Amino acid sequence: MSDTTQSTEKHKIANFIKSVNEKNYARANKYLQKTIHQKLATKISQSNPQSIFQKQ
Amino acid sequence: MNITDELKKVGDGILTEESLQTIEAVFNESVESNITEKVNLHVEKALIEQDEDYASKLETLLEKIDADHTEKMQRVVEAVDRNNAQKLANVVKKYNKVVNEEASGFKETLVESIDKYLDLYVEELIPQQDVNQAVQNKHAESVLGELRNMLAVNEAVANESIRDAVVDGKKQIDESKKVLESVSEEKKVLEEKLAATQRALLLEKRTADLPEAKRNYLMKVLGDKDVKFITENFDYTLQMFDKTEEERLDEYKRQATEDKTIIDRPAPPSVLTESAGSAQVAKDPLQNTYMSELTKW
Repeated sequence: MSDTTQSTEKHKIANFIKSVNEKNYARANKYLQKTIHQKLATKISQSNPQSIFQKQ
Repeated sequence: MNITDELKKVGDGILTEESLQTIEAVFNESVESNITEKVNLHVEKALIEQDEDYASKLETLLEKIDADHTEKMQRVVEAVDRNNAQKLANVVKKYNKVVNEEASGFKETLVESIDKYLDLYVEELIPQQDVNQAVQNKHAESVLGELRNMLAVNEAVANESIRDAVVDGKKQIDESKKVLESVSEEKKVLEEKLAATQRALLLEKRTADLPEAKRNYLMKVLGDKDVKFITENFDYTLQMFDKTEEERLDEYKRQATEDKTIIDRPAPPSVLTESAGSAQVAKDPLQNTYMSELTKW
């Protein structure tokens, strides 16, 4: 995972904590969703698809 | 001094012993009551004076005590204020330190912890293996879709019931394409013919009054050009031809001048020329040139 991605992820988590602290749960939900989506995108980008015509 | 003895001296034998005793008792009682009243008055006065004196002294004392207590209280309050302010400053300093250093550290730790927790949660919920499999499937689906497009195989063609209709439609489209191509070809040929006819007509029209040489030259130069080009450049081509012709005549003239040999012969008789002829000659520059050359011989 690149430094930029990690930094934005941490920024989103910090915003999530801040929103929970302010009891702004709608905003907290938004930031949590974004964080989870970014984590999934990272996981997807880490997987290398094999050629389907390659012999197993 | 005894009142009984005095009365005995004054009225010896007049008052009886009993009367004297009574008078003495009354006298004594009267004196005692008088004395008691005066003493009481004096005592009361003294008490009042003492009370007033003590009251004024007590008031002064109280004022002094109050002033002293006030001063002491002010000093105590100032000391307490100073102490509290110092403590408050220490608290602010400590709070700032906590906010700036410890809180930021705590925040980073908390963010790290939540990040790790989310990582673990996502990993537990959607394992990396499943993600890899899904990506592989999506990739395969995409590749197969592209292959299907490349090979022109789709679901409609794959279905037996509508395959004939699709094939028939494709046949009709191919035939229509062929017809369209042939019509386009014919149109192209006709357009070319039309352009050639228009060109020939235009050239014929513009060169109708010109000499044969010019006409042939223009036909040669502009014969394969389109109508627009001919319209725009006809005059220019004609001028170019005239200029070339003039240069050629000048060249002939120059050569003739260089090659001439002078022959001694009698002067020709003077010939009367008509002014109309010279005027006619002057009109045509080429003719004028020929005539001037002939006069030399």
